[in-house]
Amino acid sequence: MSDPVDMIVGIVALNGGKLVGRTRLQKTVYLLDACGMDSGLDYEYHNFGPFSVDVAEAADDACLLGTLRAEEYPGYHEVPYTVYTASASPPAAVGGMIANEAKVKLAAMGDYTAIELELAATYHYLKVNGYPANTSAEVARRKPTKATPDRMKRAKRLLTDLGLM
Amino acid sequence: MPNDKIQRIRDPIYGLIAFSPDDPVDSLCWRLVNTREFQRLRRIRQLGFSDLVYPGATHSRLAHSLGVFHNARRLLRHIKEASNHFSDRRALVTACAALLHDVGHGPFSHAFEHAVPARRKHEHWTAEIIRGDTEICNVLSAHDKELADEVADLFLRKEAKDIYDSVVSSQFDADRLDYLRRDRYMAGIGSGGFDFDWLFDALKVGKVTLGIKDDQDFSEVDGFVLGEKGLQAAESYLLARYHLYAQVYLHKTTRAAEVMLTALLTRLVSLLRDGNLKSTGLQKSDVLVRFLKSDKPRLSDYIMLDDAIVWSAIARMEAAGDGELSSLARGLRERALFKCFDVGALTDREKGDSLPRYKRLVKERFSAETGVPVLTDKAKLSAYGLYDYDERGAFQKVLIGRSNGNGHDDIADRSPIVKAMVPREVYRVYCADDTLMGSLRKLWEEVRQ
Repeated sequence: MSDPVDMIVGIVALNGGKLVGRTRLQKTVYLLDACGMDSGLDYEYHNFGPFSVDVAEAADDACLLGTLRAEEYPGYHEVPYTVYTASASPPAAVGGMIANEAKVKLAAMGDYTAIELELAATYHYLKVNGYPANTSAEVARRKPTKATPDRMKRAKRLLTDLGLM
Repeated sequence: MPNDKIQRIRDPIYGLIAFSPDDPVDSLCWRLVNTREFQRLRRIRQLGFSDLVYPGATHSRLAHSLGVFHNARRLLRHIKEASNHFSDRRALVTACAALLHDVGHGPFSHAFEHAVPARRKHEHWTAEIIRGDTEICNVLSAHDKELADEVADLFLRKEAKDIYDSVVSSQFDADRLDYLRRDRYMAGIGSGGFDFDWLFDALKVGKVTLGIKDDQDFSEVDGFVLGEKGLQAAESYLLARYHLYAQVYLHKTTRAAEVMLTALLTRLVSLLRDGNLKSTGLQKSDVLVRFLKSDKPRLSDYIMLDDAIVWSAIARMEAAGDGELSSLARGLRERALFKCFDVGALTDREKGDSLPRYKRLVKERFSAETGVPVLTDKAKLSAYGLYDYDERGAFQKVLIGRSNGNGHDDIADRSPIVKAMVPREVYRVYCADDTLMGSLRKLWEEVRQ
């Protein structure tokens, strides 16, 4: 298993040195793992979909170590959001995934909103964790406000783009 | 038991919790109380190993669940008095959910959850018990067909979408209102109190904003808001949570037992999966063995598990052929717990920025792979608990109304005390012997230099 701190910094570096939002960070790492990054990190289901305490901790540690910078900004309706930046050179690989492959996946995710990432990650998590059939219905039950037909359509398209569907 | 008279339960916190046969919610919930799955909660302690530190803290999840139901009824009354469009149906679902919210807890809760191979959170089991082949599901379905699914959905969704959901899951939910008082009382700690009656008296129903990020999709819904006179009570309420976590839930000795139980169960699973049942001291027919061996554990086995089953297995594992298992079992039985180096408790000045580097080195040098097993305990201690997420919806906030009656604020924007309460990282290392502990402390000194 790669060191999670290095991995998180590496992912931000490969994403052009910047990644916006804690939600996006969590779902990005989850989806890269689903694509074969093989981080060895644990995920648990929360109301916002699969969540890894290890990812949150690694991001905090990276900030303390100075390899990652996290700045919080007030967003719409005063909902804060965090901007992560990493000035390190992009690594040759993150976990078991070579840099070029990770970049392609990150670019694909960049075309989608954080909610769509959350829905895609939730769909994938439920599919492989007890809900192989009727997964969409299960996502809709759990996320009635977020899982609109349009967003679900785009979440599935993202999974297709990533080769996960 | 006949269901035609008022059923009264004595409770150390509320005095009396009564179920009226004339009230459809009470009547249904009383039938739920008498199911075998709910009665199982008598055999699961609310605070797991906390009695190793606080001998009085032996209360059950059943007592807590009844308290949550009692609080939920009170919160629902608030909604009814304040709302022009009160929904009896939503109130029924909410009351059932409050009563049943812990029915999926396993023995020793989180320590057990973390060790079992098919990691499922207790909320998942709660939903399975509510809609599975159980007495609870039969009682709910006999009331009406959709009820079990509606109650289960509330646990799976885990996302409050209106004021009824917030009775079960929010900063100010029936669960927290009970456990903060009950756990403090049973543990016998002096700090961590708050003015419960004043808090309820200050409680109002107002319009709050629910938001979904990105699409800037915000909507106004009913939610609980505290009147301005409730500000100090709300501060105490949040402080109470902080103190309970610091002194009880995350107590280093309790957590030592928890990490040891997790290590014991992890070792047990490994032996069982390798076909070494003989060296565990357990039998093939043990429900714990059956449950832990399976990739897809059965609900019927899960429902059989309780603290007594696990303690009985631990007693037999003390005589196990496997040295590690035997030693951990003995340690738990005799309260001979691992030694602790509480790195997170050091002052900021002592810690500097060394903690992440220390954690990394501990992981590299002291692990099962390097043959020097050290157990770690990680958590976040926060008064105004937030997940590491951007979103903080109205139901994750404590809202204080403005004196002019126009809107409300997040308590963090009104209270310098709450604003100042930054989360603290808990990081501890545990090991069995003094030599190893010496090495761990020495490593810390090296990192600090």
